[in-house]
Amino acid sequence: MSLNNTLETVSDTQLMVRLATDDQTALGTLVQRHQRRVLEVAYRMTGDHALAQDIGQEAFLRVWRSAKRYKPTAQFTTWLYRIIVNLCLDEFKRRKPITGDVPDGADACSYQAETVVEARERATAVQLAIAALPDRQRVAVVLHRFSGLTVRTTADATGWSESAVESLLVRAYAALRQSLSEQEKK
Amino acid sequence: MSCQRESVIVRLVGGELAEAEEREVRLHLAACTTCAEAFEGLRGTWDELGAWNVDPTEIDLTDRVLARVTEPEDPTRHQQFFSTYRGASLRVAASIALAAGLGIATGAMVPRDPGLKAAQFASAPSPVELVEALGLAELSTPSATGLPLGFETEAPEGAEVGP
Repeated sequence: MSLNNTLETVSDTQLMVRLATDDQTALGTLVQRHQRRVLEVAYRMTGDHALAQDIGQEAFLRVWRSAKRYKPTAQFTTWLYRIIVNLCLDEFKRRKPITGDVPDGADACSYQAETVVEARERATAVQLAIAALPDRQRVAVVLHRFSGLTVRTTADATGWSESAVESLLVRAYAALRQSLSEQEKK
Repeated sequence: MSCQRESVIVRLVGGELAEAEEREVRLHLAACTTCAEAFEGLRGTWDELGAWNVDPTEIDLTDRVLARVTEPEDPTRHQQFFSTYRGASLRVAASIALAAGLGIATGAMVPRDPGLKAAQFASAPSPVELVEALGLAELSTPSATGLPLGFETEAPEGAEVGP
């Protein structure tokens, strides 16, 4: 059994302790364990695959740089989400509003079954509606709806108050409902 | 029970209410059309959002991350930092030197002992001479008055500035 396989059963906190001693296999295990959620969240927030990978890479480098100072006061994943949120918010300040890597339209899939086309159209509609949200609302919805965080953990992951997150979510879901209903009418 | 705040309905749809609280809220929804409609609307939106699937399983960041961790530190990093801020630092230094020179030249800066003025400040260099002496000429564009742009307006009225 390789060392990496051995580490698969080790907790995130224990991996961070190992990483603090410059054990790079611990970092490799953390990357493999969490990269999917990191990439998914970063992509949903930015709508850009290449940028999501850059953010993912930077997030894990920040984990590595912070390992010696890491204190497990919260779940590792909550802390990781916070790193991603901060990176995404920094990115939002630098760039123009996101539109999302919207897949090609019906021409490319005219041969496909109607249900597949409809499913793709629904997915595109959702992606566009999410992309059109203000940055903080988009961050809150991505964490709450797609990453399965509660209002409380969303607040922990963003550093915003619970009441602020509640308010963002109420406004975001209302905007999404309206946006999706308008797109359906078209 | 009073009508639910929308945030409670958000928590209900998100499945994060405790069992007892959820039971209480659902009892209210059964009796309140307004809240029931709000709940159904949000649940519909929640379900619709599920249409957007993202699957990043083909991407593996492990090699990229570990390569960055093991690469030697860029020796030019500090030089880049210095070159980034060198211009700004020199401009600040030049501004201070020029302001002091201007103060001396216009008499705005006077030693506490007036007797020293003639002895020590009679030969004070003009701001332009200071710029040349400090080798900062390339950092400023001379104005019509011979002073760097922006400085000519700071001189008191009637003061002699420049050579």
